[in-house]
Order: sequence, then C-alpha cells, then structure tokens
Amino acid sequence: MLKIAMVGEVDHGKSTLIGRILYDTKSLPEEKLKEIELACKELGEEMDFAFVVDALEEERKEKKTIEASHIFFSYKGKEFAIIDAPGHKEFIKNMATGVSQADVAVLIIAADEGIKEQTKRHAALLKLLGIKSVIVAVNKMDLVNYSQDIFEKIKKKVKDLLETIGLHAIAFIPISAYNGDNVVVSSRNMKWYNGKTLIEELLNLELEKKDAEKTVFCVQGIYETNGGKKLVTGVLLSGKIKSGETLYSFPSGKNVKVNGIFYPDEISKISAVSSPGLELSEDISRGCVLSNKELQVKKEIICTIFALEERVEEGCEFLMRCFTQEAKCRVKRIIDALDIDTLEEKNTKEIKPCEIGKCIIELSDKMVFSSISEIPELARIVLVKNGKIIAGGVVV
Amino acid sequence: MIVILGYDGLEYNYVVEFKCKELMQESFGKTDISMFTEPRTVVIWSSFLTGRNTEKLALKDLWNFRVKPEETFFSKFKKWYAIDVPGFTHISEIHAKEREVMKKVFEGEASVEEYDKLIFENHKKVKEMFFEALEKDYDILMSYFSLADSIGHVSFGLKIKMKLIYRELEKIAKKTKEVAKKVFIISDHGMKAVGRFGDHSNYGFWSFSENVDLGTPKVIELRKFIESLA
Amino acid sequence: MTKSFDYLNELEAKSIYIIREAYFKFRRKLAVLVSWGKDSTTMLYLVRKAFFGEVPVPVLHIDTGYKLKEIYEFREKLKKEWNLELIIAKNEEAIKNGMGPEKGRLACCTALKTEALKKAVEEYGFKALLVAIRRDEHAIRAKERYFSPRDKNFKWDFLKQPPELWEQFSVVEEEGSHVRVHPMLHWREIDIWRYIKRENIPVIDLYFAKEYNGKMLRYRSLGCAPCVVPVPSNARTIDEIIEELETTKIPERAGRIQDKERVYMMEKLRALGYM
Repeated sequence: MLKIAMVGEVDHGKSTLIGRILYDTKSLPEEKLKEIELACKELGEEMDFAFVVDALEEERKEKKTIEASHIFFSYKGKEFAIIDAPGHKEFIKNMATGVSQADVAVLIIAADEGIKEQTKRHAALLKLLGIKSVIVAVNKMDLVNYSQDIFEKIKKKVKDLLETIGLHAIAFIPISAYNGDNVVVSSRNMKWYNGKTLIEELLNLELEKKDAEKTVFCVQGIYETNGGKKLVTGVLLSGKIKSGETLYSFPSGKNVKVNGIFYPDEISKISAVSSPGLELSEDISRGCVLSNKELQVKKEIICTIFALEERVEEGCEFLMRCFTQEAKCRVKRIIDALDIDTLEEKNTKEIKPCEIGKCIIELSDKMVFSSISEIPELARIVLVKNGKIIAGGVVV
Repeated sequence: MIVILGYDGLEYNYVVEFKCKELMQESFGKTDISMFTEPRTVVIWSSFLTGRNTEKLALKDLWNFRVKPEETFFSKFKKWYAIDVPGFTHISEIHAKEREVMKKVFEGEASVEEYDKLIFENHKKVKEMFFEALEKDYDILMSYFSLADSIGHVSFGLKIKMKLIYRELEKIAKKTKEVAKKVFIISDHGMKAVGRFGDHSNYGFWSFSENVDLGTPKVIELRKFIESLA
Repeated sequence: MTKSFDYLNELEAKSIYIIREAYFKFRRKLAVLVSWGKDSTTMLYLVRKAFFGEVPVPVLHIDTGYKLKEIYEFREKLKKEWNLELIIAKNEEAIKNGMGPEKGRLACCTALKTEALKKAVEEYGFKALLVAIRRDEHAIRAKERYFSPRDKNFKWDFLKQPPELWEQFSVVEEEGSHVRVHPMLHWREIDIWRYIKRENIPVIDLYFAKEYNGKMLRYRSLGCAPCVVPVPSNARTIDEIIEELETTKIPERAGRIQDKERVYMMEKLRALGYM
C-alpha cells in the first residue's frame, strides 16, 4: 500500500483534491452521497461536485482534522492511503506524526497564490522526515486561465525553494482539483502539458529497495518459551539471516553465532520473515543490532531535529531512542535553527516547538546509526522526556 | 391574510449559519420552551395555540391529544384554516407511518433512503394542500411542515443535506410572502447534532415579516401576539 | 487469480513489532482484550505469532452474559486449542440487580462492559491492554494512536495525546492509568479477511450468510445478542466475503446498533414520543 501525505497551505485546495481523487476513482462512500443526491432530486436542485467536496469537508471536520487521519482508496488494483494532514500552524506536530509514515508527499500550491509560509514549512518538514519522493501539484490552474506561463514561473520558484531545502521533486503537475484537470483524467484545458496525471505518477512510483546483501537485525527483547528456550526477538530491517552464520553484535562489535532461527509460526513461513526469533551463542540484550557487515557506531552525532512539545536547549538532557536502541543524551551545541519564514539559518541556543534546527548531541553510550537513504530506521531518532516524545530528528 | 408557517425542528443556529434570509425575515429570535420537561412536538404546538401549558394533559396519549378550536387563537379570527398542526389538526396516518419507519431506521431494518423518500412524499402532499389554501381567502392560515424535524432526526449532522432542506423551507416562505401580508414563522424546538443524527435542542425559533421586538418569548405567551394581529 | 497480497506482510510485521513492544514493556501487566470477533481473534493469532505459538499473557474476555451463544462455543474451543490463560470478567453485581438491555442499551453497555472492564483492570492490576480496534472502523477511531493512554477514570483525551513518530511510542505512566495498545490500528476490514484467508485463522461462522426467516443474512460485526443484527448478504465463504467487501461501500457498523449515538438517539426519541 502506498501511503501519500498531502501537505500545503490551508486554502490551497487540499480537501478539493482529496475529494476529486476519491470522486474520480469512484471511492466515495456512496451511502452519504446517495442521500444528498436523493434530496437534490426530490427538492428540484442540481447535484454538483461542490456538494461532494462539502460533504467530504464535513466529514473531515467531524473527525476534527487536527491530526493526521487516513483515507483509503484503490485504483487499477493498487491500494493507496492518503494521510490527511491538517495545515494549521499549531497542529504541526500532528502533521509530523502523519507525514513520518508516508512513502510519498504531494505538495499542493495554489497557482493564484504561489508559495506561502505553510508551503515552506511543510517542505522543510518533508526533508527532515526523510520523505524522498515529492510530487508538486500546482492547483487552481482554472483560476489563472490554465496559463502555462504562470505554471512555469511557480515551478521555477518551487524548484528553487526545494533545492534550498535539499529536496528534489519527481514531478510538477498543473492541476485543477475542482474541475478535475490532470488529477485522474488528463486535462483538455492544458494541452501544453505532456506529463503524467497525478494518479499516474502515484501508480508508477517505484519505492527504493534496500540493500539485500546487508543484514541488519534490531533486537527487541529476549523471550523465554515455555520449553525454556531463550529466543532473541527482533526485526530484520534488511537482508537475510542463515542458521549457523556468525554475525557482529553492535555496538560492541563482538561475534555471535546464530544457532537456530525460529519463525513465529512453524505452519506459515510465507510471512513474518521479518520478525524471527534467534537462538544465539552469546547473551545479548534489547537495543543490540546484529549485522554481517561493519556498522557505524557513534557516541556523538549531528542531527536535524524538530521540536514538537517543548523547546530543546543547549545542555538539555533527554533519553534518545533510535529504533530499539536507547541511551541518555545531552544537547552539546545547537548549530543553527531554520527560520521558517525566510528559510534562513539563524544563530540560536534553542530550538522552539515547531522549529527545525541542527545540533550536536552527546550520548552516554555508543549507538548504531545509518544514513537515512540506507537504513532509515537507524537514522531516525526521538528525544524523550518523562516517557513523552518531545522531538524527532534525522541523523545527518 | 396572516400566515403562520410551523416548521418543526427549525434550528436557530442553522438558519443563521446558512444565512436563510427568507426564514429570518424582518425580525427573528429564539423562543423559550423551558416550561416543558422535554421539548415534545405535540405539547409545544398545542401550547402555542392555546397559550397554556398542555404538557400534563397531552402526555396521557401524546399522538391522540387534540385541543379544540375554541381553546386556540383561531377563535379570534373569522375565517381560519390549520393544516396538519400537531395536537390540533394533525393527519394521524402520516405521522404514525413516519414514526414507524424512523424506528426501523434506528433499528437497522430500513434504509435512510427509504425513510427519506417517505418524508419527501409526505412533504409534497402537505405542501400541495398549503399552496392550494394559500389561494383562498382566509383571515389566518397556519400550515405545519415536519420536514426539518423528520429529516433532521436521522441526518441533522449532515450539514449539506440539511442545507438543502432549509433551502426548501425558504422557498415555501418566499412563495408565501408573495401572497400573505403578514408571515409568522415558528418552530417548536431546534435541533442539535448527535453524530449524524439530530436531537431536539431546548429552544425554538420565531421570525416575523415586520419589525417587532419580541425578544426571547415564552412559546405559551405568543398567543397574545398572534391575536394582536387580528 | 492468486493475488499474493504482499502488503499483508508489512501489516503483520508492524503488528508483531507493536505486540512485542507492549510485552517487553509491561510483561505480565499486559492482557489481551478479546471479544472473539474476527479482529480480536486475528490479534490473538498475531500474539501467538509474535511469541512462537504461545500467548504469554492473560486473555481477558468481558462477558455481559448476553453474547451470542456461538461466541461462547468459539471461546471454549480456542481456549483449548491455543492453550489460553483466560480471564472472564463479569459485572455479577449489576447482573444480579437485573441489568440488561431492556434497562436501556447505554446503561446496559456501561454497566456490563465498561464497569466490568474497569473492575478487571483494577483487580488484576493490568497496566496495558492489547485492543483490536482499527482506524477504518469509525470516525473517532481515526484519531487513535498505537499507544493510547487512558486515565484512571478510563477517559481518553485525544487532544493531549503524546505524538508517535516512526516506530517510537510515548508511554507516560500515571497513577491508576493504563495504556490501550492497538496493534491492529492500521488494518482495514478487508485486510483482516484477506489475512484470515491466507493464514487460515479460525472465525465464528456467524460471519457467513445463512437463511434467517427467508432472507440471506450474515453478521458483519459481533456482540451481544440483543444488540447486533445481521445484514443482508449472500457471502457464505471467506472468499465471498472478500469479494463482497471489494465492491461494497456500506460501513461495517451499519449492522451494529449499539453504536453509541444510535443508542442515545433511540432513548431520546422514546422520551420525546417518537417511538
């Protein structure tokens, strides 16, 4: 299932676009629409797309879209989930929660307004959360007479913006969600555009595959079976494990031999291949990372962090978690914070909630890290205080 | 001619939110129905007509309770007609059938569509009767429309749908104003959303085609005002 | 014809990860809350998968005494086959005092379900419960987190929920509070059925269409006998259910009248003289 995050300024047409996608892929909850259709018929009113958007908008409000919710649909045999992230500034932490699960982001920009504060903020967030695939949808083309000139100008500006941030868009699509141009159906109003429609881009999206040669297994905990067997449970993030092979156990780097592999269910081996239990030659504990190759182990890292609940200041102490690893940490230095309005870096000693900044963090114990492009799970960290996640980040 | 449009379940907040000018008229406000233990349709309408609290009497046999013309403000007028007014001239079969299907909807035995169809059908019948009467020469004509309440109980939370319903009630009001000199619109109670459904709210709605200052009148005190129009 | 539905592996892996996280955090202070419907049975199956065929924590069933009889039969069967440490919680006091659906469905649910659960949680000192809710079930559920805190009054304040990022969950421990852990949150109704089919998980046959009073009906969700109604359907096998779900757009809960709002409305409408 492809998870799509929809982000952008509040009034740039997110709900209309979601409505349009659902309407044109015939995924709308028929029940509700039928009722409206019936009322229209009986009362002599015309039914149009505005009702669809209104009805959907109503439903979103009902769900009080203060945080990301999921909208499912399928098209041409492929399953999709739209992560509907709200655009309000104060709910940005909930947006981060939603976007962090996405495979691809659609950044919506209204043709008649261009780049706004939220556009920048959201784009910066996409980068931080490690979203690699970004599709830019320039919406409301109908309001600018489907002008190629305006589209090209916005495209250039957005491209520059994304470059500043360090993002690369896989496509720029001129659309009118309201009229349905280039969303699911190719536009007749923009013959000058030869690219794919939004849904085609989503259908054709190839997600990067991990390096199958590199084994990475993160230990969740030790489970003792009724028979007294001690099984090391965890998640196989990449590669394979063979019985009898010797792996390195990080952060120590010691050798351990795999004496046996137990799958969760002896009946069904077709699944759960990523959640095995291992019988090992040595005692190891939660947080260890097993691999057949050398992994980076660090006691000090530079990372971009996004403060969610509380400010992160120099000297602050937290608990850092990175997948199943955990260690005490201290913010050694804040290098800079990104001013969301100007996207300029500013010198500061703190990162306030909803701000993004770069900092150096010192750890009490060594931990395994990877680059976001290789093993994303080992590049994503959270800072925890009293059991609560107060910031998220990505190791640079 | 004076016309009273009795719109069951018309909600003050929706009238304002949907900007229904034809329903707001020249002056409008909420009514006070706090003298009743529950906002029950038959009770409120018969109390409005008679100017006294009928709750105790009506509760004995709600949908068979009817007040007599001489007990109501109609007695102050020569030529009057009241269409389908609950607790007075209501057409029992229509309401009994609507209640029966509503129950089925909540029990999952009938679809909303089925229910809506029935409501719209009945609405058209009453509307026809009303428009016919509007062409005659009455001193006072009152017609009751259950549409907003009937649809509202099942769909008050679906604003788009309710907007369509309120537009329809506006159309009726507009047509009425082309004929009648004075138009008084009143609802027994408003509604509040419970998920997609609708419950009664604890105030009603009134509006008048002329500028009057009624404030938030007690519904049982409105009899005096209607009689003053004679 | 044979679709592999590889994405089910992802759903499964995520659930197993969450189940293990909950177990390693809470150990024996964790319980699996089951209703023996398709979702909680699938969850229980995943617990077994996470721990190599064993269920290392108690399985808690809130018994209102009004459950469909097939549910009790199914419970006894799985208890034996899966070797479950079953705790059956009943609000005996309320039952003795005559509580039942005729007292009003809302009151009945509160006394026989909510209160019974509260008591069980207190009595056994559970700090966390695995609960098989899904995000696509109901509007309000879209707001749930994988680890959702409940305060000592069992209240859930969704506006104050701690954020969840990636595979990290916030667990803030407070006196008397417990955590609802939702390993099935990301599954949809159709995913559950596809998975049941693939893994051959046992389900109660109430889910399959049978003739009731001349109509073909099946249960889409289960619960207490007075409060669930079967919906019209011709799906007699898992394959037919999957096919039906691939084409239908009627919400699952259409057949579940103890939907709180519906229950509340029916009580109100009765008071207002409509019913």
